[in-house]
Amino acid sequence: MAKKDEIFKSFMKHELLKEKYGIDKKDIPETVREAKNSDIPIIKIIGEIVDTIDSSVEADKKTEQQTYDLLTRYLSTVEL
Amino acid sequence: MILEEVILENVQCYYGKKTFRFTNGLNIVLGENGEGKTKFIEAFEWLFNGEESKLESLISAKKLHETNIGDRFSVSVSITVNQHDEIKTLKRFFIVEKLTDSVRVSKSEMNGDIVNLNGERTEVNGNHLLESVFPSTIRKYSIFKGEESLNIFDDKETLVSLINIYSAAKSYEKYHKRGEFLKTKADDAVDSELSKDTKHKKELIKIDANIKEFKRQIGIQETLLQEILETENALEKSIKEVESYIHNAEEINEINEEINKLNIKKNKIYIADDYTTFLFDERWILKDYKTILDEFTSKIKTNYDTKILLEVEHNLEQGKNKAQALTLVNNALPLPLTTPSKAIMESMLADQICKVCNTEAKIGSKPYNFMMNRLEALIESSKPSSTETEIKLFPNNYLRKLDYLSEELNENYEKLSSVPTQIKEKLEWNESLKNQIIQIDKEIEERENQKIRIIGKSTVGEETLSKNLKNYTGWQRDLKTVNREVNSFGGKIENINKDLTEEKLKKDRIQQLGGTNTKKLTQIKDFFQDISKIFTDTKVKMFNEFVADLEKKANEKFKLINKGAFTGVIKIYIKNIGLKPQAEIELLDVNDKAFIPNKSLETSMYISIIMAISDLTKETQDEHYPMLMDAPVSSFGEIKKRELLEMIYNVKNQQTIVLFKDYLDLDENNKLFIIRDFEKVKRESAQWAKLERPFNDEKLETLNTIIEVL
Repeated sequence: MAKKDEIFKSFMKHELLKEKYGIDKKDIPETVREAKNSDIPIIKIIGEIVDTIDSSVEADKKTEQQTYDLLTRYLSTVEL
Repeated sequence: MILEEVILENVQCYYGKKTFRFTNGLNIVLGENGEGKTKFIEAFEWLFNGEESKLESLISAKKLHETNIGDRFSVSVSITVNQHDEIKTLKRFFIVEKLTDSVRVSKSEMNGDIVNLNGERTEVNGNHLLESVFPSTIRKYSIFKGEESLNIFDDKETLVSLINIYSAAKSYEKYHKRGEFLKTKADDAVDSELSKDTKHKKELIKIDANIKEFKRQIGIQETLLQEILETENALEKSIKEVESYIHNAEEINEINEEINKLNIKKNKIYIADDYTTFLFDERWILKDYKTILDEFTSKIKTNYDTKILLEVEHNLEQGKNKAQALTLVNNALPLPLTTPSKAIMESMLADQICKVCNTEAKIGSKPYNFMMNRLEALIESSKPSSTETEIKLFPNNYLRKLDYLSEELNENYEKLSSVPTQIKEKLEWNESLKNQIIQIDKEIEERENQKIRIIGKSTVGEETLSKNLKNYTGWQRDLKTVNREVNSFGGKIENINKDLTEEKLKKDRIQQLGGTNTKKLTQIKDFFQDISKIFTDTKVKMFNEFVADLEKKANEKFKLINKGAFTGVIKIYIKNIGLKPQAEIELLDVNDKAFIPNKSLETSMYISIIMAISDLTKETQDEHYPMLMDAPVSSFGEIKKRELLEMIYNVKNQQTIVLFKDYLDLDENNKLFIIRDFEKVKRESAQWAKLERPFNDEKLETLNTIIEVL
């Protein structure tokens, strides 16, 4: 398992995901790639952040501001 | 990273070029005192720090002696490492020119080059290469000169720094930072949107200023708390040291245990004496309300009675029927017309009974007629005035409203009637808690005195004892003051935090009042807040898991070094006090009581932790670094020394270079030789740094260290 997938999985263990967002274990993806395609905003966003920080592809890494812009653009289009 | 080669050229006793070769695993360098062991470590350190003031002291006296006036030669230290299958070489050097009575030295320079897998060589900036090969944060925890230097954990922040460097928590630091950034940006976006709304602008500016101020105050208090905590740590350490001299240390430990328990008991006592809050939130301010309410009720009643009386007289003057109905025997004051209500009156007339006094009221009887008259008077009074000339004595009915209010207040008083009892009980309870604290303080003081008496019976020399005792009592007194200050700062920070939270809640409430844009931005902000929390909590979790693993691995190694001996168990506590987390390491016996280890046990404890960190690093990081230890085990006996070396040997994939003078002896001709026991020592490589013989023990220029591969 790639390092970024391990990091992503460790975030997915947080109790907020179940307690506040009602996410079932079965809905939690195994990889960052799957997470980025998730319909669940919090999973998608965490996947995106992990990719902007720990992507093996240098071009996919983003600065803090670029990450913020990318995420807020997406969040403003979905129901939270 | 594997250190493969170290070349010393004309460095102190290393005349000409001398090469040490190392491999992965345990490498041993033997050497008698004064024969080049420590010079090797010092040369290594110079390569890293490049200290210019030391240059002349690094020059080989032998080389200088043999050089002609006006000639030059080079002094250098170079290392070759294998990192990710690339061969990287670092060389620090300077040029020496011999003058008639002195030398001229150039500035030192650092060269670096890398040979890749294809054998291509590239020259690079030496200093940059050094930092990438062996980062300075790692170096200071990789080189240990002497047994004392292993005690790096005396500084309580060191272990935390090491954990931060080596644990997986390090990978999470950037997530923590990014989470904070996103949260702050989202918060700013909400503020910016809200500031367009002039209605809340002023209020928001005020709230933001308050938040800034509270944060500033917390910063100041935390800095002060940090300072006082450092004093507290120093005092506790000094007290512990004095206690270690004492003959009856076990008794002292028991007393300390009791004091700890008493302190825990004391800290659990919470006195809720925030009476200002009770005054308003619990309505204690209404303690004497009953007197005021009674006076109010009495005044209303008097006024209301007067009003009815006046109304009766007025109506009689007007000669109305309804006035007749209001006349009672003995000229008593009648009830208001609306009491009982119209519906009740009609029901009583239908049933021919007065349901107030439970008497019959047959049609035509006096009570029946009285009730009928009252009903008619009530109906008539509710009709609009038939003539403009009818004058109402009390047209606005204010007194009736006051009467209702009086009734309502009296009904509600039930809820307040227990306030005086509540106050009494609360004050008595708090008083009893205060007495408990006083009692516990007395018990603590008694035990402190007991400790002082035990110290008085200690076996330490009279003069030292007297000095220590004087200090000890002073430190105990200071510690109490410092403890109080710590609590006080803690309380202040807690209070400011409460105010800060209150301001943030105010801001949240205003944000909820905003328009569609603000609401959406607030949702995004809350979302980022959750993400930031997930990142931060996961980082802390990783840190704690690393500490638990570290403790487990350190104990495994500790048992291996001290096979068959009493060891106790290494316990690592991480405390989040003030601004920085701190780590405390203790040895606990089977009853979880801390004890003070002897020197060799203490050293083996530190080595176990250092090796455990190194071990864990390999599981969590892509890189690992060599460890150099010069004379780490001078307090160890033969068996323990061998166990330590075996433990190091068994740590897989860790390069360790140990330098010591052990396993060497002099034969009958005063010639050094390696004793047979060394054959039993498992290692990957061994070299012997020794002075070439003969040499003149008064002439530096005769010294030349040679390296023999064993």
